[in-house]
Amino acid sequence: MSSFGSIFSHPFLQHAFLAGTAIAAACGIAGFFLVLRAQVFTGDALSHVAFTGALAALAAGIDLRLGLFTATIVVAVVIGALGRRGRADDVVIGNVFAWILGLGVFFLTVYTTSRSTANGTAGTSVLFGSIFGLSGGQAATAAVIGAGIVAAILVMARPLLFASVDEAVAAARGVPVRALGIVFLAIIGATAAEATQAVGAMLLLGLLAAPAATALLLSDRPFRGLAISTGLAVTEMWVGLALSYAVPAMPPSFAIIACATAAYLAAFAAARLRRRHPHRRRQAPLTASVIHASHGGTMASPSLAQGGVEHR
Amino acid sequence: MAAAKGVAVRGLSIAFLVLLGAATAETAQITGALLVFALLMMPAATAQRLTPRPVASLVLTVVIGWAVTWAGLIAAYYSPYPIGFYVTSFAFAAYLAAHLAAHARHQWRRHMLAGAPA
Repeated sequence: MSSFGSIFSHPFLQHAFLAGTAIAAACGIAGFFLVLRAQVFTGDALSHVAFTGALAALAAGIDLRLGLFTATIVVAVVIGALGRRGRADDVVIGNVFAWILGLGVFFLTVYTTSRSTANGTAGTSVLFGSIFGLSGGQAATAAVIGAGIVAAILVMARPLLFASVDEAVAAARGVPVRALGIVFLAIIGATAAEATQAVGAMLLLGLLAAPAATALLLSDRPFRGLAISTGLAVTEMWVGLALSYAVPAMPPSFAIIACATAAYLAAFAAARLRRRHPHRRRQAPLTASVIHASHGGTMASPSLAQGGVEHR
Repeated sequence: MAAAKGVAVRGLSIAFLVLLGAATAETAQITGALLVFALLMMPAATAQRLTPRPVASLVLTVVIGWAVTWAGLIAAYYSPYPIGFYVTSFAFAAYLAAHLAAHARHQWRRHMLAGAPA
Protein backbone atom coordinates (compact mmCIF):
# COMPACT_ATOMS: atom_id res chain seq x y z
CA MET A 1 0.00 0.00 0.00
CA SER A 2 1.66 3.25 -1.15
CA SER A 3 1.95 6.15 1.23
CA PHE A 4 -0.65 8.84 0.55
CA GLY A 5 1.82 11.53 1.44
CA SER A 6 3.66 11.02 -1.83
CA ILE A 7 0.51 10.73 -3.90
CA PHE A 8 0.91 14.15 -5.48
CA SER A 9 4.59 13.83 -6.28
CA HIS A 10 3.76 11.89 -9.43
CA PRO A 11 3.04 14.13 -12.44
CA PHE A 12 0.52 11.70 -13.91
CA LEU A 13 -1.49 11.89 -10.68
CA GLN A 14 -1.34 15.66 -10.60
CA HIS A 15 -2.68 15.74 -14.15
CA ALA A 16 -5.35 13.15 -13.34
CA PHE A 17 -6.60 15.06 -10.29
CA LEU A 18 -6.56 18.39 -12.13
CA ALA A 19 -8.51 17.12 -15.13
CA GLY A 20 -10.64 14.77 -13.06
CA THR A 21 -11.85 17.46 -10.65
CA ALA A 22 -12.95 19.75 -13.48
CA ILE A 23 -14.54 16.90 -15.46
CA ALA A 24 -16.40 15.57 -12.43
CA ALA A 25 -17.68 19.04 -11.52
CA ALA A 26 -18.91 19.52 -15.10
CA CYS A 27 -20.62 16.11 -15.13
CA GLY A 28 -22.21 16.67 -11.74
CA ILE A 29 -23.62 20.08 -12.56
CA ALA A 30 -24.71 19.38 -16.14
CA GLY A 31 -25.89 15.87 -15.31
CA PHE A 32 -28.22 17.28 -12.67
CA PHE A 33 -30.22 19.11 -15.31
CA LEU A 34 -29.97 16.12 -17.63
CA VAL A 35 -31.70 13.91 -15.08
CA LEU A 36 -34.14 16.65 -14.12
CA ARG A 37 -35.16 17.11 -17.77
CA ALA A 38 -35.42 13.32 -18.27
CA GLN A 39 -32.89 13.47 -21.11
CA VAL A 40 -30.61 10.72 -19.82
CA PHE A 41 -31.22 8.73 -23.02
CA THR A 42 -29.57 11.54 -24.96
CA GLY A 43 -26.50 11.05 -22.78
CA ASP A 44 -26.48 7.39 -23.74
CA ALA A 45 -26.76 8.23 -27.44
CA LEU A 46 -23.94 10.76 -27.11
CA SER A 47 -21.69 8.14 -25.53
CA HIS A 48 -21.93 6.12 -28.75
CA VAL A 49 -21.24 9.23 -30.82
CA ALA A 50 -18.24 10.03 -28.62
CA PHE A 51 -16.66 6.67 -29.39
CA THR A 52 -17.23 7.00 -33.13
CA GLY A 53 -16.14 10.64 -33.28
CA ALA A 54 -12.89 9.96 -31.45
CA LEU A 55 -12.03 6.99 -33.64
CA ALA A 56 -12.98 8.79 -36.83
CA ALA A 57 -10.50 11.52 -35.88
CA LEU A 58 -7.79 8.96 -35.16
CA ALA A 59 -8.46 7.19 -38.47
CA ALA A 60 -8.19 10.54 -40.25
CA GLY A 61 -4.92 11.27 -38.52
CA ILE A 62 -6.00 14.25 -36.42
CA ASP A 63 -6.15 14.79 -32.64
CA LEU A 64 -8.86 12.53 -31.28
CA ARG A 65 -10.28 15.29 -29.11
CA LEU A 66 -11.18 17.26 -32.23
CA GLY A 67 -13.38 14.46 -33.55
CA LEU A 68 -14.67 13.73 -30.07
CA PHE A 69 -15.89 17.23 -29.29
CA THR A 70 -17.11 18.02 -32.81
CA ALA A 71 -19.15 14.84 -33.11
CA THR A 72 -20.79 15.05 -29.70
CA ILE A 73 -21.63 18.75 -29.88
CA VAL A 74 -22.96 18.58 -33.46
CA VAL A 75 -25.10 15.52 -32.80
CA ALA A 76 -26.35 16.99 -29.51
CA VAL A 77 -27.47 20.15 -31.29
CA VAL A 78 -29.17 18.08 -34.02
CA ILE A 79 -31.03 16.07 -31.38
CA GLY A 80 -32.08 19.30 -29.70
CA ALA A 81 -33.23 20.88 -32.96
CA LEU A 82 -35.15 17.80 -34.10
CA GLY A 83 -36.62 17.16 -30.67
CA ARG A 84 -39.87 18.99 -31.05
CA ARG A 85 -40.56 18.15 -34.66
CA GLY A 86 -39.55 14.54 -35.19
CA ARG A 87 -41.79 12.05 -33.40
CA ALA A 88 -39.00 9.49 -33.33
CA ASP A 89 -39.61 6.71 -30.85
CA ASP A 90 -37.08 4.81 -28.81
CA VAL A 91 -36.65 2.02 -31.36
CA VAL A 92 -35.64 4.44 -34.13
CA ILE A 93 -33.19 6.29 -31.88
CA GLY A 94 -31.75 3.05 -30.53
CA ASN A 95 -31.20 1.71 -34.04
CA VAL A 96 -29.56 4.89 -35.32
CA PHE A 97 -27.10 5.02 -32.46
CA ALA A 98 -26.42 1.29 -32.59
CA TRP A 99 -25.40 1.80 -36.20
CA ILE A 100 -23.22 4.76 -35.22
CA LEU A 101 -21.45 2.48 -32.76
CA GLY A 102 -20.88 0.00 -35.60
CA LEU A 103 -19.39 2.84 -37.62
CA GLY A 104 -17.00 3.46 -34.75
CA VAL A 105 -15.84 -0.16 -34.93
CA PHE A 106 -15.17 0.39 -38.64
CA PHE A 107 -13.02 3.46 -37.88
CA LEU A 108 -11.19 1.49 -35.21
CA THR A 109 -10.19 -1.09 -37.79
CA VAL A 110 -9.17 1.59 -40.29
CA TYR A 111 -7.04 3.20 -37.58
CA THR A 112 -5.37 0.03 -36.34
CA THR A 113 -4.63 -1.28 -39.82
CA SER A 114 -3.20 1.91 -41.25
CA ARG A 115 -2.04 4.50 -38.76
CA SER A 116 -1.74 3.20 -35.25
CA THR A 117 1.86 1.88 -35.22
CA ALA A 118 2.61 2.13 -31.50
CA ASN A 119 -0.87 3.03 -30.26
CA GLY A 120 -2.60 -0.34 -30.27
CA THR A 121 -4.84 0.41 -27.32
CA ALA A 122 -6.64 3.44 -28.73
CA GLY A 123 -9.98 1.63 -28.82
CA THR A 124 -9.71 0.60 -25.18
CA SER A 125 -8.67 4.00 -23.95
CA VAL A 126 -11.54 5.71 -25.76
CA LEU A 127 -14.02 3.14 -24.46
CA PHE A 128 -12.76 3.01 -20.88
CA GLY A 129 -10.96 6.29 -20.34
CA SER A 130 -7.31 7.14 -19.93
CA ILE A 131 -7.22 9.64 -17.10
CA PHE A 132 -3.84 8.44 -15.87
CA GLY A 133 -2.46 8.86 -19.38
CA LEU A 134 -3.14 12.57 -19.75
CA SER A 135 -0.21 14.87 -20.41
CA GLY A 136 0.09 18.21 -18.66
CA GLY A 137 -1.26 20.07 -21.69
CA GLN A 138 -4.20 17.69 -22.13
CA ALA A 139 -5.05 17.91 -18.44
CA ALA A 140 -4.93 21.70 -18.52
CA THR A 141 -7.21 21.82 -21.58
CA ALA A 142 -9.65 19.43 -19.97
CA ALA A 143 -9.63 21.55 -16.80
CA VAL A 144 -10.31 24.76 -18.71
CA ILE A 145 -13.18 23.21 -20.69
CA GLY A 146 -14.62 21.67 -17.53
CA ALA A 147 -14.50 25.01 -15.75
CA GLY A 148 -16.15 26.63 -18.76
CA ILE A 149 -18.99 24.08 -18.64
CA VAL A 150 -19.54 24.71 -14.92
CA ALA A 151 -19.60 28.47 -15.51
CA ALA A 152 -22.00 28.16 -18.45
CA ILE A 153 -24.45 26.00 -16.47
CA LEU A 154 -24.29 28.37 -13.50
CA VAL A 155 -25.14 31.31 -15.76
CA MET A 156 -28.07 29.40 -17.28
CA ALA A 157 -29.18 27.75 -14.04
CA ARG A 158 -32.21 29.85 -13.15
CA PRO A 159 -33.90 30.08 -16.56
CA LEU A 160 -32.96 26.49 -17.33
CA LEU A 161 -34.53 25.28 -14.10
CA PHE A 162 -37.68 27.24 -14.83
CA ALA A 163 -37.84 25.88 -18.39
CA SER A 164 -37.16 22.32 -17.21
CA VAL A 165 -39.67 22.22 -14.43
CA ASP A 166 -42.56 24.11 -16.02
CA GLU A 167 -41.96 24.61 -19.71
CA ALA A 168 -45.28 26.16 -20.70
CA VAL A 169 -45.26 28.79 -17.98
CA ALA A 170 -41.61 29.59 -18.62
CA ALA A 171 -42.30 30.09 -22.32
CA ALA A 172 -45.25 32.31 -21.50
CA ARG A 173 -42.99 34.33 -19.21
CA GLY A 174 -40.56 34.96 -22.07
CA VAL A 175 -37.88 32.37 -21.26
CA PRO A 176 -36.32 31.21 -24.58
CA VAL A 177 -37.15 27.58 -23.86
CA ARG A 178 -36.20 26.11 -27.22
CA ALA A 179 -32.91 27.99 -27.50
CA LEU A 180 -32.04 27.09 -23.90
CA GLY A 181 -32.78 23.45 -24.65
CA ILE A 182 -30.45 23.43 -27.65
CA VAL A 183 -27.64 25.29 -25.87
CA PHE A 184 -28.00 22.95 -22.91
CA LEU A 185 -27.69 19.89 -25.14
CA ALA A 186 -24.60 21.38 -26.80
CA ILE A 187 -23.09 21.75 -23.32
CA ILE A 188 -24.03 18.13 -22.58
CA GLY A 189 -22.23 17.15 -25.78
CA ALA A 190 -19.09 18.90 -24.55
CA THR A 191 -19.51 17.32 -21.10
CA ALA A 192 -19.81 13.86 -22.63
CA ALA A 193 -16.65 14.46 -24.64
CA GLU A 194 -14.85 15.60 -21.46
CA ALA A 195 -16.04 12.56 -19.53
CA THR A 196 -14.78 10.26 -22.29
CA GLN A 197 -11.23 11.27 -21.40
CA ALA A 198 -11.82 10.41 -17.77
CA VAL A 199 -14.03 7.33 -17.61
CA GLY A 200 -14.43 6.45 -21.28
CA ALA A 201 -17.38 6.33 -23.67
CA MET A 202 -18.82 3.17 -22.14
CA LEU A 203 -19.06 4.59 -18.63
CA LEU A 204 -19.62 8.32 -19.08
CA LEU A 205 -23.36 7.86 -18.62
CA GLY A 206 -22.62 6.73 -15.08
CA LEU A 207 -20.71 9.89 -14.27
CA LEU A 208 -23.44 12.06 -15.84
CA ALA A 209 -26.43 10.36 -14.24
CA ALA A 210 -25.42 8.75 -10.92
CA PRO A 211 -24.34 11.81 -8.87
CA ALA A 212 -27.37 13.71 -10.18
CA ALA A 213 -29.79 10.90 -9.39
CA THR A 214 -28.24 10.56 -5.92
CA ALA A 215 -28.64 14.28 -5.30
CA LEU A 216 -32.29 14.17 -6.36
CA LEU A 217 -32.86 11.37 -3.88
CA LEU A 218 -31.25 13.36 -1.09
CA SER A 219 -32.82 16.76 -1.59
CA ASP A 220 -35.99 18.33 -2.91
CA ARG A 221 -34.55 21.78 -3.28
CA PRO A 222 -33.18 22.28 -6.79
CA PHE A 223 -30.16 24.46 -6.05
CA ARG A 224 -29.20 22.39 -3.04
CA GLY A 225 -29.52 19.32 -5.27
CA LEU A 226 -27.29 21.01 -7.84
CA ALA A 227 -24.61 21.64 -5.23
CA ILE A 228 -24.90 18.10 -3.84
CA SER A 229 -24.64 16.62 -7.32
CA THR A 230 -21.49 18.59 -8.12
CA GLY A 231 -19.89 17.91 -4.74
CA LEU A 232 -20.74 14.21 -4.92
CA ALA A 233 -19.31 13.87 -8.41
CA VAL A 234 -16.02 15.52 -7.42
CA THR A 235 -15.78 13.44 -4.23
CA GLU A 236 -16.47 10.24 -6.13
CA MET A 237 -13.80 11.19 -8.65
CA TRP A 238 -11.23 11.83 -5.90
CA VAL A 239 -12.03 8.64 -4.03
CA GLY A 240 -12.00 6.67 -7.28
CA LEU A 241 -8.63 8.06 -8.34
CA ALA A 242 -7.14 7.43 -4.89
CA LEU A 243 -8.49 3.87 -4.84
CA SER A 244 -7.11 3.19 -8.28
CA TYR A 245 -3.71 4.54 -7.23
CA ALA A 246 -3.72 2.40 -4.08
CA VAL A 247 -4.89 -0.76 -5.85
CA PRO A 248 -3.04 -0.91 -9.19
CA ALA A 249 -5.19 -3.77 -10.45
CA MET A 250 -8.23 -1.50 -10.30
CA PRO A 251 -8.62 0.73 -13.36
CA PRO A 252 -9.61 4.33 -12.53
CA SER A 253 -12.83 4.34 -14.57
CA PHE A 254 -14.09 1.28 -12.70
CA ALA A 255 -13.18 2.74 -9.31
CA ILE A 256 -14.87 6.07 -10.06
CA ILE A 257 -18.09 4.54 -11.35
CA ALA A 258 -18.12 2.03 -8.48
CA CYS A 259 -18.00 4.94 -6.01
CA ALA A 260 -20.79 6.71 -7.89
CA THR A 261 -22.95 3.59 -7.87
CA ALA A 262 -22.24 2.90 -4.20
CA ALA A 263 -23.29 6.43 -3.28
CA TYR A 264 -26.49 6.08 -5.30
CA LEU A 265 -27.34 2.71 -3.73
CA ALA A 266 -26.75 4.12 -0.25
CA ALA A 267 -29.04 7.09 -0.96
CA PHE A 268 -31.64 4.78 -2.50
CA ALA A 269 -31.62 2.49 0.53
CA ALA A 270 -31.82 5.48 2.85
CA ALA A 271 -34.78 6.88 0.91
CA ARG A 272 -36.57 3.51 1.07
CA LEU A 273 -36.03 3.30 4.83
CA ARG A 274 -37.17 6.88 5.29
CA ARG A 275 -40.38 6.15 3.43
CA ARG A 276 -41.11 3.12 5.56
CA HIS A 277 -40.48 4.91 8.85
CA PRO A 278 -41.51 8.55 8.40
CA HIS A 279 -40.87 9.86 11.94
CA ARG A 280 -39.89 13.40 11.09
CA ARG A 281 -42.08 15.64 9.04
CA ARG A 282 -39.73 17.69 6.89
CA GLN A 283 -40.92 21.18 6.07
CA ALA A 284 -41.25 21.10 2.30
CA PRO A 285 -39.93 24.29 0.69
CA LEU A 286 -41.91 26.12 -2.00
CA THR A 287 -39.83 24.72 -4.82
CA ALA A 288 -40.37 21.13 -3.68
CA SER A 289 -43.97 21.15 -4.83
CA VAL A 290 -42.84 22.37 -8.24
CA ILE A 291 -40.26 19.59 -8.45
CA HIS A 292 -42.81 17.00 -7.33
CA ALA A 293 -45.20 18.22 -10.00
CA SER A 294 -42.54 17.85 -12.65
CA HIS A 295 -41.77 14.27 -11.55
CA GLY A 296 -45.37 13.18 -11.30
CA GLY A 297 -46.75 14.96 -14.32
CA THR A 298 -45.82 14.67 -17.96
CA MET A 299 -42.55 16.28 -18.95
CA ALA A 300 -43.01 18.20 -22.20
CA SER A 301 -44.26 16.87 -25.51
CA PRO A 302 -42.77 13.80 -27.22
CA SER A 303 -39.22 14.59 -28.13
CA LEU A 304 -36.18 12.86 -29.49
CA ALA A 305 -34.47 13.14 -26.17
CA GLN A 306 -37.19 11.57 -24.05
CA GLY A 307 -36.17 8.91 -21.61
CA GLY A 308 -35.12 8.87 -18.00
CA VAL A 309 -33.68 7.25 -14.97
CA GLU A 310 -36.10 5.97 -12.38
CA HIS A 311 -34.97 7.77 -9.28
CA ARG A 312 -37.92 7.37 -6.93
CA MET B 1 -56.07 -10.40 -19.54
CA ALA B 2 -53.53 -13.17 -20.01
CA ALA B 3 -53.11 -13.45 -16.25
CA ALA B 4 -56.89 -13.68 -15.88
CA LYS B 5 -56.92 -16.51 -18.42
CA GLY B 6 -54.46 -18.48 -16.34
CA VAL B 7 -51.27 -17.78 -18.31
CA ALA B 8 -48.22 -17.94 -16.04
CA VAL B 9 -47.21 -14.35 -16.79
CA ARG B 10 -44.41 -14.04 -14.26
CA GLY B 11 -42.92 -17.42 -15.07
CA LEU B 12 -43.02 -16.65 -18.78
CA SER B 13 -41.32 -13.29 -18.21
CA ILE B 14 -38.49 -14.91 -16.30
CA ALA B 15 -38.11 -17.67 -18.86
CA PHE B 16 -38.09 -15.09 -21.66
CA LEU B 17 -35.41 -13.00 -19.99
CA VAL B 18 -33.24 -16.05 -19.44
CA LEU B 19 -33.58 -16.90 -23.14
CA LEU B 20 -32.77 -13.28 -24.02
CA GLY B 21 -29.61 -13.53 -21.96
CA ALA B 22 -28.60 -16.68 -23.77
CA ALA B 23 -29.39 -15.09 -27.14
CA THR B 24 -27.28 -12.06 -26.24
CA ALA B 25 -24.34 -14.27 -25.33
CA GLU B 26 -24.67 -16.15 -28.63
CA THR B 27 -24.95 -12.95 -30.66
CA ALA B 28 -21.89 -11.48 -28.96
CA GLN B 29 -19.80 -14.19 -30.56
CA ILE B 30 -20.73 -12.86 -34.01
CA THR B 31 -20.95 -9.12 -33.65
CA GLY B 32 -18.95 -8.60 -30.48
CA ALA B 33 -20.41 -7.50 -27.16
CA LEU B 34 -20.58 -3.86 -28.21
CA LEU B 35 -22.87 -4.38 -31.21
CA VAL B 36 -25.20 -7.06 -29.89
CA PHE B 37 -28.09 -4.61 -29.92
CA ALA B 38 -27.95 -4.41 -33.71
CA LEU B 39 -28.49 -8.09 -34.45
CA LEU B 40 -30.97 -8.50 -31.60
CA MET B 41 -33.18 -5.50 -32.30
CA MET B 42 -32.84 -4.35 -35.88
CA PRO B 43 -34.23 -7.41 -37.72
CA ALA B 44 -37.17 -7.48 -35.31
CA ALA B 45 -37.80 -3.76 -35.72
CA THR B 46 -37.59 -4.16 -39.50
CA ALA B 47 -40.06 -7.04 -39.56
CA GLN B 48 -42.50 -5.19 -37.35
CA ARG B 49 -42.37 -2.21 -39.69
CA LEU B 50 -43.24 -4.46 -42.61
CA THR B 51 -46.14 -6.42 -41.16
CA PRO B 52 -48.36 -6.20 -38.07
CA ARG B 53 -49.18 -9.94 -38.10
CA PRO B 54 -47.25 -11.60 -35.22
CA VAL B 55 -46.43 -14.96 -36.84
CA ALA B 56 -45.46 -13.39 -40.15
CA SER B 57 -43.25 -10.82 -38.43
CA LEU B 58 -41.60 -13.55 -36.34
CA VAL B 59 -40.72 -15.54 -39.45
CA LEU B 60 -39.59 -12.36 -41.21
CA THR B 61 -37.35 -11.47 -38.25
CA VAL B 62 -35.58 -14.81 -38.44
CA VAL B 63 -35.17 -14.52 -42.21
CA ILE B 64 -33.82 -10.96 -42.05
CA GLY B 65 -31.45 -11.82 -39.19
CA TRP B 66 -30.15 -14.81 -41.09
CA ALA B 67 -29.77 -12.80 -44.31
CA VAL B 68 -27.82 -9.93 -42.73
CA THR B 69 -25.55 -12.38 -40.88
CA TRP B 70 -24.71 -14.28 -44.07
CA ALA B 71 -24.21 -11.03 -45.96
CA GLY B 72 -21.98 -9.75 -43.15
CA LEU B 73 -19.93 -12.95 -43.10
CA ILE B 74 -19.40 -12.84 -46.86
CA ALA B 75 -18.56 -9.14 -46.91
CA ALA B 76 -16.16 -9.51 -43.98
CA TYR B 77 -14.42 -12.42 -45.68
CA TYR B 78 -13.61 -10.36 -48.76
CA SER B 79 -12.58 -7.16 -46.97
CA PRO B 80 -10.35 -6.19 -44.02
CA TYR B 81 -13.19 -4.70 -41.98
CA PRO B 82 -14.80 -6.43 -39.01
CA ILE B 83 -17.96 -8.49 -39.31
CA GLY B 84 -19.71 -6.60 -36.50
CA PHE B 85 -19.64 -3.44 -38.56
CA TYR B 86 -21.03 -5.21 -41.66
CA VAL B 87 -23.83 -6.98 -39.81
CA THR B 88 -24.82 -3.72 -38.12
CA SER B 89 -24.74 -1.78 -41.37
CA PHE B 90 -26.74 -4.34 -43.36
CA ALA B 91 -29.28 -4.65 -40.55
CA PHE B 92 -29.58 -0.88 -40.37
CA ALA B 93 -29.92 -0.62 -44.15
CA ALA B 94 -32.75 -3.16 -44.03
CA TYR B 95 -34.38 -1.20 -41.22
CA LEU B 96 -34.09 2.07 -43.11
CA ALA B 97 -35.52 0.49 -46.26
CA ALA B 98 -38.48 -0.89 -44.32
CA HIS B 99 -39.00 2.45 -42.57
CA LEU B 100 -38.98 4.34 -45.87
CA ALA B 101 -41.24 1.76 -47.53
CA ALA B 102 -43.75 1.98 -44.69
CA HIS B 103 -43.61 5.77 -44.83
CA ALA B 104 -44.09 5.77 -48.62
CA ARG B 105 -47.01 3.37 -48.34
CA HIS B 106 -48.59 5.60 -45.70
CA GLN B 107 -48.14 8.70 -47.84
CA TRP B 108 -49.56 6.92 -50.90
CA ARG B 109 -52.63 5.82 -48.93
CA ARG B 110 -53.17 9.33 -47.67
CA HIS B 111 -52.85 10.64 -51.21
CA MET B 112 -55.40 8.10 -52.50
CA LEU B 113 -57.82 8.92 -49.71
CA ALA B 114 -57.45 12.64 -50.31
CA GLY B 115 -58.08 12.15 -54.03
CA ALA B 116 -61.38 10.29 -53.39
CA PRO B 117 -64.51 12.20 -54.45
CA ALA B 118 -65.96 14.13 -51.50
